[in-house]
Amino acid sequence: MPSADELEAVCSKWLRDRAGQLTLQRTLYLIPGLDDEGAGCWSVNGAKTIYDHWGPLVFSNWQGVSSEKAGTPEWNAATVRLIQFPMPYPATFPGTDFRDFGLVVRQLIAMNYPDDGSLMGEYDVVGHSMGALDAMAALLPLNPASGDAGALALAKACNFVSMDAPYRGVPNMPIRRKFSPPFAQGQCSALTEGSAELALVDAQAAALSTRVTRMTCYGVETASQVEVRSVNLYADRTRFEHQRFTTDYRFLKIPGSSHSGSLGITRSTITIANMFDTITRSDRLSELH
Amino acid sequence: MSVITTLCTIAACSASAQISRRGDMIANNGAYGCTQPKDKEPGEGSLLPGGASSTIRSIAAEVGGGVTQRRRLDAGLAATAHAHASIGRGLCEYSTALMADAYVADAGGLGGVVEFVVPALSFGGITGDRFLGSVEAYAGASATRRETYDPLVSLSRDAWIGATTRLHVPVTVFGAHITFYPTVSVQGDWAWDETVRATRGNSVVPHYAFALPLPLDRFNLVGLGYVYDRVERFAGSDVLQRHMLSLTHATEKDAAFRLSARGSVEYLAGRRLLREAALVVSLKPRVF
Repeated sequence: MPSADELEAVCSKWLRDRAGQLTLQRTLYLIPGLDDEGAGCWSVNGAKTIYDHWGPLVFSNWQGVSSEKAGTPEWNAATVRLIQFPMPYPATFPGTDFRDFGLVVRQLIAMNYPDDGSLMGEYDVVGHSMGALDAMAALLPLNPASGDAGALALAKACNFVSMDAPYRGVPNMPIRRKFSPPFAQGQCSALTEGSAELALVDAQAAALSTRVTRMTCYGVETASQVEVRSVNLYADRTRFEHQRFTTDYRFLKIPGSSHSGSLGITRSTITIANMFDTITRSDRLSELH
Repeated sequence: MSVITTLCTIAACSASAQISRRGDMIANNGAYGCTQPKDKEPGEGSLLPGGASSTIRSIAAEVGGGVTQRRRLDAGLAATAHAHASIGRGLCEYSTALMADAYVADAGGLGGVVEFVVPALSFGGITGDRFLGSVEAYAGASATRRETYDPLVSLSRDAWIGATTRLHVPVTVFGAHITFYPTVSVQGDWAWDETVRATRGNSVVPHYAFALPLPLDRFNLVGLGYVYDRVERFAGSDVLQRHMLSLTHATEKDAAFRLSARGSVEYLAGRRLLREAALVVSLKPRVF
């Protein structure tokens, strides 16, 4: 029965009590979502975000770099890689839907983690909203019949974490789409319930479990401008019984948070503490409760 | 849910609180009783790091002032301490609360309320696949000192038992599927002192409350809220009612405080007794 405020306070204290005491076990990739090419969900000057405040506070080896420096020694030495997408989009980047973003993510991760055939998860990836679909598209050939399958493959991820990801679409996307710029129309279309792109996501959902060691999905509990009802990827316990077990699957609703913005799920200390704990532990979390 | 918590907080920062303090209490119970998702299944449990279900102890405060139609100014300070623990691997949760507030009324009189809630047991997951809501049962006691604005008693000691139900109501608004979380509370108040019971004319006073929060998170507004509070047979056979509308603002998720503007109207036996506008600052809880 603690209120959302009380849970926030508990988790803030948990984070502060561990200042400088935790260690990142693997390289962490942070991926933003729709209409957030600059990754504001992870990094905003002056705000208590994961990338700027909580990460450097808690982890002794938090060494962040943005994808603007991809391929540089600084990029290679970093423990946290913040993926941003250039605006306006370069001529070589169509940005039609999350699969295009996924290809960029795949190329960025593959610089350091190409598929080596190992069954060990080698890095952690966290995606907000459409960013989780980007990550999924990076890890899998979402459309094996296309050239997608021929692209460079990634090593297996250890933790795959999604935050309010619309795996089966955003119900009010048709309205939201009206307020989106021309270059984002295809992205919005792909996130509309029943789209062909999301049909591919659904078809490949089970396969994702073979490319990650552990999967955690977070959703929001309160009403907000983007009501995402399909954040629980493996909600169907019958269909995904095997995947739920093998990926140590967890789904958690974060109270008092909205989809995005300063009150969004990525800014909640409940989310942050839980995620930090998840990526630093090796025991089976789904059996701790 | 933080919205209700903020909107219907325990603070008795104004004259209206002198008679309808319990309504805040009821609504607040609703908030506290249902904030943690109850549709847990194995592996989908605690929101705390590592899945720990440890006891949470917290303290929160609120300060504010209000102006009534008689242009008087009331100011108040309120604090609450909570302890929560999980029972039966999250199937049921227990909490206790100690709340106290003090206020200064227009003539310089001092009033206050002390309340103690134990136990409050919360049960969730009314259905299996589809989560409809949760229920919290509670009991408690309070002592209230009313300096002004109370035709009946200056001091009352009450014990009460009640239940709060928080519903999950999915609706579609302009194509968006949004879930609202209204709370309904029913409570019976019993006065410890025989003289008070005699004054009230009844041993047990029925008390109802309804709260509807409307989150407006997109604009950095925590939300808009409406609370209806009703006490049957408050003054013998009279009905005391209160309508409250509240708008709460926070700049950041991690902001140290929130600001609420509240307007309320109270009726006793159908006669408008008080109109009030209040500005309240709520400090975020601290855990210890």
